Amino acid sequence: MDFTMINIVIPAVKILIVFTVVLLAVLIMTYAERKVIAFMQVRLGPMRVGPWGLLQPIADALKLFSKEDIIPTMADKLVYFLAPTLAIVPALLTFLVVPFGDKTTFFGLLKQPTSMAISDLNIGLLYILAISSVGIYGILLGGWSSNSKYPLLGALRSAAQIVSYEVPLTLALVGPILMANTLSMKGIVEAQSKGMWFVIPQFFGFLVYMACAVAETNRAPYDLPEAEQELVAGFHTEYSGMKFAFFYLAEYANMIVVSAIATVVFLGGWLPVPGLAFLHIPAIIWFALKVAFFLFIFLWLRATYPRYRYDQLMQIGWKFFIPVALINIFVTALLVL
Amino acid sequence: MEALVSFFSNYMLYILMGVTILTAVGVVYSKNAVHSVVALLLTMILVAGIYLMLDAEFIAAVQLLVYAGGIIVLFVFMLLLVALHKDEALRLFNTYTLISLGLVAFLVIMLAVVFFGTPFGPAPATVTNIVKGGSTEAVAGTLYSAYILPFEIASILLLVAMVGAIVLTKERGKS
Repeated sequence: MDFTMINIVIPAVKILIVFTVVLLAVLIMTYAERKVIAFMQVRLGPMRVGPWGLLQPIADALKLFSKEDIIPTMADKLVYFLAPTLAIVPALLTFLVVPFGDKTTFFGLLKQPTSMAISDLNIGLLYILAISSVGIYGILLGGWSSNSKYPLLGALRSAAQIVSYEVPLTLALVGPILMANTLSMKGIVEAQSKGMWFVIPQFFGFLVYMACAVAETNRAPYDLPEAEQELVAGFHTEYSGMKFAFFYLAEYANMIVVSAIATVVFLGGWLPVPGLAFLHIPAIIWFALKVAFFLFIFLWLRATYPRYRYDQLMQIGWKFFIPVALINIFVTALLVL
Repeated sequence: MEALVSFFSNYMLYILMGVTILTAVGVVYSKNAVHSVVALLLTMILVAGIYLMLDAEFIAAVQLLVYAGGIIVLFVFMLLLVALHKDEALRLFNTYTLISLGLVAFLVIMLAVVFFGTPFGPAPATVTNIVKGGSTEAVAGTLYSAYILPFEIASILLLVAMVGAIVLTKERGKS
């Protein structure tokens, strides 16, 4: 393969595929969310658009495209335009290092096998954490620039919540990194292929990670930044049309990212379930199934638990999750040594 | 195509540095505090880009995580709390013209000395290292063996600041 093919064409095609898959996954996710929660509440969910309401996400997307784009008076226009971009760009950038599977030739299309991840950075996990920590500015600046009180309050809550839960989230991931001895996403999966999945030795880390991941993505029961009863819709109250769609897309993309990290770090990435390797299911299907499982947990939690009170949220974040994650690191470090 | 790639790998560093200086000037000159912070955020991200071009990908990630993702969030947080955007008419200039002229002249001379003293060559062609080996281990090894004492002193300094902040807020609560 020549230079252009390796350095430009293949990465560009990979980026296009990942981008499309993520957007499609978001569409399916919005439908799944309505249906799953509807069934859990003994309702039918969307039924009108298409058979079993299957075309509902497309109808939603069309509606969002054609809505009027409202800018509040006295809004800081520059920041108001910048905020949705700042929310969605980091969310999509994090997919750069997600390994969807092992090396593949795409069914013989390529002569040499290429990695399923767009790029395998040696600081993979750190890269995801670093990039996603920038995503909070979309919420903060969006809330401030709307020049309205509910978005401002939502943004303040959101900032406090995300900064607080970023600490235990990062600490929970240190245990598996210690065991895998690498930061590369691919390396972490390969380390699990030799032994057991990290969900077993790192069970407490896994629980802390899941709880913090839900909080980081502002999902129920940690959805205080957009608590409907108190704050209308939180930071995106004043946003409409495509700008709102960007925030919406960023939220779901973030859910997929944290699910993908959980899959890679704790559930063995693209590896088959132990004992089921004889089924010859492609690696990417295993990966998708595991991510779908985590996404289902997100919906399950939303349908099950009521929202936390704000003081409870801070209490368990700082006084429970951080100590548990720290003890987990110490014990892991001792055992690894 | 190869010429384009080699152009970028040779001169991207200087392009990044130039844009970083522009955003840094934006921090100082924008009258709105929030715009200043947004410019500061861009500056921090671009500085991470400079580290990346110098093959220090671990430092770049930490720069993003700590400065862009942590410290500036707290800046914005404070701005939202104090509603600074109402004080745009704040007087931005003072009357110490002579003293500031002298200081600026001194600063420019110092910068010029450093600038002309530095041997500028083509920027290191990089980014290959990031996908292969990496500098994370090198950073850890140096930090925890050769420079362990400064590292510990810095952490104690931060601990003192943290304890100090807690003590200050506790005192106010009592009175």
